[in-house]
Amino acid sequence: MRKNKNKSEDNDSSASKPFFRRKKTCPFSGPEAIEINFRDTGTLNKFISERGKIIPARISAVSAPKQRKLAQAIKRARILALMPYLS
Amino acid sequence: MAFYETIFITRQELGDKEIDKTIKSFKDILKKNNANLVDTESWGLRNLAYKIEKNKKGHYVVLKIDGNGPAIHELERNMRIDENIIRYLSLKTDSINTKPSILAKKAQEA
Repeated sequence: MRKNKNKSEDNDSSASKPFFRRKKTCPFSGPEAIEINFRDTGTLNKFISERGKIIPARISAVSAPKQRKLAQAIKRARILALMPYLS
Repeated sequence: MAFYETIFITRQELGDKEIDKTIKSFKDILKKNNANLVDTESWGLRNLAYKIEKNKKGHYVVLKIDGNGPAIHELERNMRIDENIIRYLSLKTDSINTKPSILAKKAQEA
């Protein structure tokens, strides 16, 4: 049993090495944070899908408090026809 | 007193003079309601992301207001009456920033 477990762990590390992917961090947190503003459609456009839907935080790695701010900003931009509701 | 930002979109056909006139009329409305129009900002003629009342383009104007709730309410009531205004949005802000925003800068360059 134990042998098997070790083996599988070894396999995992060797398998994950070539596919190592750095964990994405929230673009709105930290020292180089971008400010969320509903006027800044260039930035907001990165967080909507091709259909115009807001991308979930689990994919974009935006932190939960910032995702709430981001969603609010996108919705304001939509009201003012700066961004589409659907496209 | 609290700070507000009211952004409105007018129909494309309106000229600069007519827009100035509407801004002036809003200023008077605010004054009557003990509010002050601190600054205005123009984002120029922009393409709308979707059609609003058959309009594809519109002039964007920002009013930066030092006022109170009833004044904003009265302002919005008048905006609903004015047929040249196709959309408006009022937001409460922490402070009034007189520096031009990203969209205003873009309008000036164009």
